Amino acid sequence: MNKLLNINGLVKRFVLHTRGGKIIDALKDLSLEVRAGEIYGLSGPSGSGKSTILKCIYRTYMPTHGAIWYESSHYGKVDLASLSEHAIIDLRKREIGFVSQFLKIIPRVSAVDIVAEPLLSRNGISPEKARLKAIHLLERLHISSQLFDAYPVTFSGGEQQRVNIARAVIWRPKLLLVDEPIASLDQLTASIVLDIFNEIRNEGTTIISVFHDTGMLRTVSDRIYDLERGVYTDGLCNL
Amino acid sequence: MIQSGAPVLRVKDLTKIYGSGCPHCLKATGPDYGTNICSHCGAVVACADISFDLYTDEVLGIVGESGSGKSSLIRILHLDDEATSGQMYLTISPDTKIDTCDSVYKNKNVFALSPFLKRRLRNSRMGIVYQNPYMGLRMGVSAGGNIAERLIAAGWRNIKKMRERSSYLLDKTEIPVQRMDEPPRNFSGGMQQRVQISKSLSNNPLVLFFDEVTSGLDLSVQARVLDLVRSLQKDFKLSFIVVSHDLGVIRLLTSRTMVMKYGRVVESGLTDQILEDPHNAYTQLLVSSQL
Repeated sequence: MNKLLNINGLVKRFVLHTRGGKIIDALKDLSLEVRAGEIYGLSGPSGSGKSTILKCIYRTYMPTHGAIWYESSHYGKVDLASLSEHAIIDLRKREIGFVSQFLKIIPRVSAVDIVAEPLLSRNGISPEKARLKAIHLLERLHISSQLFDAYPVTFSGGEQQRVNIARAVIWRPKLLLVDEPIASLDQLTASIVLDIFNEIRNEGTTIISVFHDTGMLRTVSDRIYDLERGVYTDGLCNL
Repeated sequence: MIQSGAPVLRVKDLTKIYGSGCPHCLKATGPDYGTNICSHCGAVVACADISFDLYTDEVLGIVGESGSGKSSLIRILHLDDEATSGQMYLTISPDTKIDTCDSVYKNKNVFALSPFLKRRLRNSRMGIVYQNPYMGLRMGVSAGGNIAERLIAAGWRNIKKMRERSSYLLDKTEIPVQRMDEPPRNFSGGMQQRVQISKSLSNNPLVLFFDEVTSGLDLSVQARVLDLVRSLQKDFKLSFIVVSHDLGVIRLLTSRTMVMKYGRVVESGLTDQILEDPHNAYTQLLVSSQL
């Protein structure tokens, strides 16, 4: 298997100037390898830096030290920690997706259009086709058809989260970073989400995930990285 | 280093000083001194050594407190005002070539061009929406006439075509076309803002400058204007520079952001990085002051 990511000596330190220069060390020297086509789970107690890793890879956080080598289809091997902003923006359009816990609401855009939007801007397919795909995905995630043309600002937390997931998986990114994607979903919908993750994994998407629920983490992950011990523990049997 | 295409707009060391200026102006002002007034000569340093690139299809945000030099910067970029020093380069890709003067601008510092060429460049390649509609529109001239004014300046001459273009743009910005012969004085603030947007788009600009487009508008009109900007960006593949003090607007519209204070860019980066992982003390204060 090819290595997709190679994180080397990653350090993330926050300096809070508004709090008299207080220092928070979120990640101290993390090294990690990720192979293509697998689902990775990050485990560790709250505050151990799980989300920080995802955000460093996506460059929402600027890594303080270290390198994040990424095997890009478009650019070749690049260090995400030092890549130009312009190239990061481009990679986010082409290859790397992120699902956070919260939906980024776009005013006056309906649920279907929010989900279809990434397809339109990326793959250049017709708006009708993109909408159909979005509807199909929302149906699968048990979003009532009454809500398709409504604005998600009025949706429940769980519905918003599903719209968010649909928007992230619809364009099949090469690398998908997921941060607590099923925190407010019931068991059934959560298992549908995991099915979808498995499906896109089988189609070639690599997923790095943070789950709050260790049961879910064990079910979905091919490999689990324990942040406290700094080692991989086997996905299915070892925990 | 990866390069995918040249930037549309490249700005280098742009400096603007209001007043006589002296050799100490840049050294004696800035965030470290807590002022942008030179203690030696009393000149105001509005912009100091500002450099950035803007790529095609990209939206760059500028945030900062009032008096930090945001609007001065925008006005200089739109060639309304002259820079004290610095350079600006515009790259016009061959497939969007419309003006016979396009080749003149190639690799030339725009600030050093003749007033004629500057005006021509602005009229054919740039668009601006001012915070105050009174700056961007002639309130006594019809909405359609306001748009035609820019078109005439960009070299259009056929009245029928200009009317078609005006009504198309007014329709795009959700102004009832029946009202195109009314002066903007009769319009609401939100409508005036949308007429300004129509006018700014009329000449198919390469770069658009938006100075606080949504401040002072009520929420539903603000959403409509933002919605419009987003769809225009998609439909017309425009590059934008958006000045706003509303971090929500910046989050929604922009992919990169520069933070200004006392005429300096104190921090710049990906918009989500600026909002979630701000490094500069002022940016941290700004972000933590969000509602």
